[in-house]
Amino acid sequence: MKTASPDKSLIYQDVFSSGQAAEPAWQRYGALREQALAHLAAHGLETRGDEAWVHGSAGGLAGGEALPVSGLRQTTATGPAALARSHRLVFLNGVFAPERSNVGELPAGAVVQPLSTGGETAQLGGLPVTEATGLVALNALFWRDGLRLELDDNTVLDLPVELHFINDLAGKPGLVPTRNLVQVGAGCQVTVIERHEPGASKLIEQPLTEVICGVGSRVDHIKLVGGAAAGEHFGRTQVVQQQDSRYRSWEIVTGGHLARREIHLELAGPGAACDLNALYMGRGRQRFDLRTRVAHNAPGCTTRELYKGVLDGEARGVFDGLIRVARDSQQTSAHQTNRNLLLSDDAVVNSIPRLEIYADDVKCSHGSTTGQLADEQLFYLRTRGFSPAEARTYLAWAFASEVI
Amino acid sequence: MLRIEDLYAGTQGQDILKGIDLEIKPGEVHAIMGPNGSGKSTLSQVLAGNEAYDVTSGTVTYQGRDLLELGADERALAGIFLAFQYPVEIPGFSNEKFLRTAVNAQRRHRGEPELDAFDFAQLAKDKMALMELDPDLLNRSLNVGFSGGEKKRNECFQMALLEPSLAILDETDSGLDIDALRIVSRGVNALRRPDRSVLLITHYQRLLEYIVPDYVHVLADGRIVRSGGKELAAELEQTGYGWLEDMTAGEVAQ
Repeated sequence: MKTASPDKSLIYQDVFSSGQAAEPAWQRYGALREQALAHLAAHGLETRGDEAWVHGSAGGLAGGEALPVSGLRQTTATGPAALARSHRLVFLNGVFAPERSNVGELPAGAVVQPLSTGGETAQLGGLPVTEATGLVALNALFWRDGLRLELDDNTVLDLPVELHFINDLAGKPGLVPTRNLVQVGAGCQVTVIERHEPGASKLIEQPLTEVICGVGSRVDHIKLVGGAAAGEHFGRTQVVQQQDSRYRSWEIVTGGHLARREIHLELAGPGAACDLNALYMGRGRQRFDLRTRVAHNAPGCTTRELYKGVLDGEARGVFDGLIRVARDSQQTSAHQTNRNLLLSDDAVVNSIPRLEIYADDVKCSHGSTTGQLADEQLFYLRTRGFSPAEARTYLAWAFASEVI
Repeated sequence: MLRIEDLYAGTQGQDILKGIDLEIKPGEVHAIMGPNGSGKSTLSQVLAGNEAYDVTSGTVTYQGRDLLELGADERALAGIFLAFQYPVEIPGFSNEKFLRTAVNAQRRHRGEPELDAFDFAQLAKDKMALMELDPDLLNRSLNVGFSGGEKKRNECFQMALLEPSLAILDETDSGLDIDALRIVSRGVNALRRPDRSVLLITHYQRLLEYIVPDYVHVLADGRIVRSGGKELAAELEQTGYGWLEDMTAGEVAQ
């Protein structure tokens, strides 16, 4: 594997060591941070030549100089509008903001709190899908806070858990890693909404969410990357699903100068099902990079994947999806679809749908299409009085509506 | 209403219409008949403003305006409606939202207040009943999964909602059974008024038993080779289009 100059990892080491006294958060989860530091010292961050960055852009991370910034908790940024009813946690520059949060009443058996509070949980960073990559290590080393959601068996949260990540470094460059843990027991049901607004240019946010779905549980996970700002977003979700659990994901990406979303998911118990949806809509010079890795490691599991992109201007998109079916994972059903609509001649998308199948009794398919608005559809709408601009807008939304 | 003079038009540098002359007065119903490939559909597409076709010469005047100057949407707002031979499917765009947007585009153009979903539902209900359309079709994606007959009736439903001054029906009868033909015809006949005109494009005489035209024109190789009253359609039913092959360009009757 090609690596960055190890020299750069020294910067991280220095920041971590020198900042450790000033950052109580970094003294928690010491074993995880030691591992991360060791990984970065040995390998550094992945660079352009690595497989992880094929067709994608490392943005501000490429320089290896994106560093966490401490002490900035004041902001006038309001962030997205809150839902009327939810268990809401707001994080400013990666730190819990109690004055903006409203966790509200919880049923028995539910823990919804900042990850920076309470005893350390052994589950964090313990997922088998956790690859030792530079990006994951960077997050593990520097996160300060995030969500801790734990549900005892058969606990149902009727209201969604709503997370706002608001970033404002007053125009300074900086890295804002956050870490979320969602661990639900057997028979639980919960909806988690992550709302990210990457913040201004030179700001890099890096949320990592781990999800453990207990036997027969139902987890819906919505991730929104929006806002008008020009920051960068490197988001990652790691999921392990036990028997007969159902995990549904919607990733809606419209904001940020560069946004990369990854899902790494393991179907670990028989009969588990995942339903992964994404919509990325870019314009100008936005860069969106959507990656999925699904491992069918048990029989009778189901994956349905629908990723759709609408790109205008000089926007670029990447879809890179891999479904891997292990040898003993018979009766697998896995379908992966990527569709892209390009609204301008300068928009580009790279689509890499992949299946790796080692079992023989499976139903699998994948498909990818990229096209432009159909002239006959535009003409049809215009003959009904739609202006050319209206017709294009309605057709783009019609294309996108399948996901949302 | 509409005056076409010496119209040449085609696609990819090839003229398909080769000198069309036609005048439609308010309240009149004209039928254009002709064999496949004679230019019938090209005429409807050119009149509706399809930019895939180029007009190489001639003029089209609609209500005193130069029609060829207008984009397809401007023609629609000016009261021209084309019922498509092959209505286009748009997955993800509900029929209801599509129709309401189209109706409101017209209303906005006329300076009338737009209809909300409730008002539109009221308006749509009666017109759907006229076209014997299942109200559930409103909630489906536009034309997706519609049967051939439902697509054609949906076109006429749109026409009933938009109340055009000039309705052009491009082979609306093709592929319809007798019941559907009767329903579609009822929709067209309900629209007939002294200030509205209809241009029926059809291959078969059958439709003209239900929508009785004032004039019938025969189109062949891009030109109108015969014009007459409704009896011409009956004559064509007897003779077919075979006689056209014997005609030379010099024998054009007008």
